[in-house]
Amino acid sequence: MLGTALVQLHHGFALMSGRRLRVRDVERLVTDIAATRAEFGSSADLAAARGASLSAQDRRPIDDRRLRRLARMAYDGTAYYRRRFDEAGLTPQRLSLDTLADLPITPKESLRDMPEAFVNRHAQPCYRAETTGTTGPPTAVWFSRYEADLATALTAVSFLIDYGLGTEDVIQLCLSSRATFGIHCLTRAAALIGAASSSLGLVDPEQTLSRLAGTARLAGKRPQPTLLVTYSSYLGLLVDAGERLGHTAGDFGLRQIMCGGEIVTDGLRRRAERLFGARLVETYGMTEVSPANGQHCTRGHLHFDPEQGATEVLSLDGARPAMPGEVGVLTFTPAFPYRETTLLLRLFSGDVVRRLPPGKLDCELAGLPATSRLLGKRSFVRELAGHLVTPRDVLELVEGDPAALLPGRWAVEESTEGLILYVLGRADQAGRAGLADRIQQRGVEQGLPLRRVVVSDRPDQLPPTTPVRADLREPTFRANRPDPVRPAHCELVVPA
Amino acid sequence: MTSPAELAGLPLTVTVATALGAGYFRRVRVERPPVGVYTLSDIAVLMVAVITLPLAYIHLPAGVVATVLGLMTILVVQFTLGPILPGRLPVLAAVGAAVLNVAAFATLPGTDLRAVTTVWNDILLLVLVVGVCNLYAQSGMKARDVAIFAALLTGYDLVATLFLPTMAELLSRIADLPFAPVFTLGSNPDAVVIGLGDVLMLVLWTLVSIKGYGPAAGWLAAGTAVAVAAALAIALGTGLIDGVFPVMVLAGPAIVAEYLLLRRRHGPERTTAMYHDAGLNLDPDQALISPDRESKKGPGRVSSVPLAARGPSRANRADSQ
Repeated sequence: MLGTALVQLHHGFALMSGRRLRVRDVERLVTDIAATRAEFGSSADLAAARGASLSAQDRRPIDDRRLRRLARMAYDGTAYYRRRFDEAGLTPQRLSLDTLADLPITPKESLRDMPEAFVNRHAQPCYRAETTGTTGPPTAVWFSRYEADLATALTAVSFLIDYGLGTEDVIQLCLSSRATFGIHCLTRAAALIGAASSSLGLVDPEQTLSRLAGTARLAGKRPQPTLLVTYSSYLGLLVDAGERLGHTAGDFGLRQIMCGGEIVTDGLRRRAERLFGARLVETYGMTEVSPANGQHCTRGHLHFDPEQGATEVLSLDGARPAMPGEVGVLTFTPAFPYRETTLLLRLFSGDVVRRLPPGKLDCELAGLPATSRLLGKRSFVRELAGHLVTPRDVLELVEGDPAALLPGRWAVEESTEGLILYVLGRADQAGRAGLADRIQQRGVEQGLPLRRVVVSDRPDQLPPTTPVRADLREPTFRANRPDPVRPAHCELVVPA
Repeated sequence: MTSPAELAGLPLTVTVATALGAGYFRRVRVERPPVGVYTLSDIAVLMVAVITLPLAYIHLPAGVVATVLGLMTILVVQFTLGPILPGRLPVLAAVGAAVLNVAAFATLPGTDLRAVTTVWNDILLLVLVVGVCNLYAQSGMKARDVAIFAALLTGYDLVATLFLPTMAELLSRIADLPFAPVFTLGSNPDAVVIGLGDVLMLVLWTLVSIKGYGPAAGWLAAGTAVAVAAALAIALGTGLIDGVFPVMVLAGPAIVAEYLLLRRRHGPERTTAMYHDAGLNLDPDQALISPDRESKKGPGRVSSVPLAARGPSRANRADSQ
């Protein structure tokens, strides 16, 4: 208890003074949280405490100090920001949250085209993480060992507090095998809390379902995976395949599904939770700003912790802050000490949200600033007749139909009379019957300028649909051989 | 000459302290730090404090000692009353009680009402015992930790009382101070006294026994506490003990022996979560504080279903065909 208090004091002092964190303090916190849960049975107090934060007014001096430090590091250490500051006539020492808007935004393309220009020359880069590149060429981000260890420890804390994981849990990762940094942090975080983990990649959904439904008798561990970590589109593939194969919740041991990287629709959530019998937790994160991420509350807000950096919502062109109720783009400035290698100020992420109207929030994370849920990528937002149509608007329509093929694959074309929505449907006529009419009707009810909905089971008859991460399918040598059937309660027989 | 009433006050004080402590433990949930459990390193720190604080009290000016003791008393009384009284009443009550204590010590000694000072001080000490013991027990301190602490205290008490002048000097230094950490069971200069720490250990052992091993263990611990106090009273009354006596030399081995017995009979002790799940404490709705308790199964867990074959459920597949 006293040791815990001292470590937390030290950690808190480091945060307040803007110094580099001691990773072993956070790792000690992981151990202490695990011990607290073992003794008291829950970490509900901690989960509630995460929704609290200093008031914006109280935080301001701390955030300004950290921002100036980050700016100094970026100016001294990176070619990109030295030029940007000089061009803007700004000095790092004068930067604050109030004057941050004087610094031009950093387009994602700049980071993608010259990642090394953002690397702090005083840091020690060890990991080159790449994004999946679903909306363009992959972006590379360099991390140091310190950042990797810190992100791992923070992930472990989240596993304990937000997901209630313990030593008996088994985590199944279904992410792109190229997402090495994320997989590295997740698997090591699992090990930190004593849970087991396995990374399967994005293989055929039948193989994944077989793994999720299979049993593995390990002492002290649940026989089946209890947490699935994957992308929304791949989850959609799993759900579609699982429903087709006749699986039910009783076949799986999942308790939770951590799903992010793409839009999670209500339709996908319903079907996934019904199929797997598990709670779906929507997450938000970007490799570029890791370990900063967003948390969803039960009211559907997306909250960002100012402790991890400054988050702005700018207009779609990035020229000004978005007005309350306006759709805008998330713009991140990840803070030191969470980031020290690839330094980013005002990264214009391209992820679209709606700025919430002013007023006090009444959710469990009300202490943290919030926006709406993710609405999609800026490049896929359409404006027609004064009506803004976001990818979420379309995807909720498509995946909201219980007969829809998952993941939803769609494309829109603009015409003078409204949008024409193309949707990839099921191969069988019965599966497609009525889908177009139902989607059209719901779209009209929601006020979307939909002129027509076309459902086809032939991708070549549709315009190119929005790319999804589930398309990053990874072949395996077992693709043509079904897994051998193993009885569910097979016991290992030890010879005498 | 010590009167029988004063001697009877020894087991009576321990009985009242134990009953109050256990009753508070059953009905009131104190606010514990969100992260952290007691470990053996905490016991080591406590031991260091036990050894160094008396030396500090002996050498510091009386005013400083009284001030430190007073501030600690206010803090603990306020903490103990916090879950029971609403609003600012706990703070007001704690400060008021402390002021009363100081006033009584300043005005009443030498008068016919001098007994009021010791009685009031003893009442404050009872509140302290209840609060501190519940803070430790409800923050996860284990029976094992208390038994080890008791063993260490036995050695320290023996040396500091019988081989060193520490305890005697401490007693003579603080006995007439307000907030003195000794229960005084009489108003004459030779009144029977028992240290706050001794009573605290006896009550703490009762609480962690209840938590770790159940009501029967708690009764055994409480009975041992009263028996130790009664034995001391008898020894004092018959002249077997004269002067300062290290109480932990009796209490410590009894605590350790009980722990070993419980461990042998019942195995490892329960966690706090198991204690709550056993329903031995009052229903949270009837507790004076009822913090939300998350299901032990974890957030959002779906009820477990018997495992099926690795493929789809056979019954459903037949239905779909």
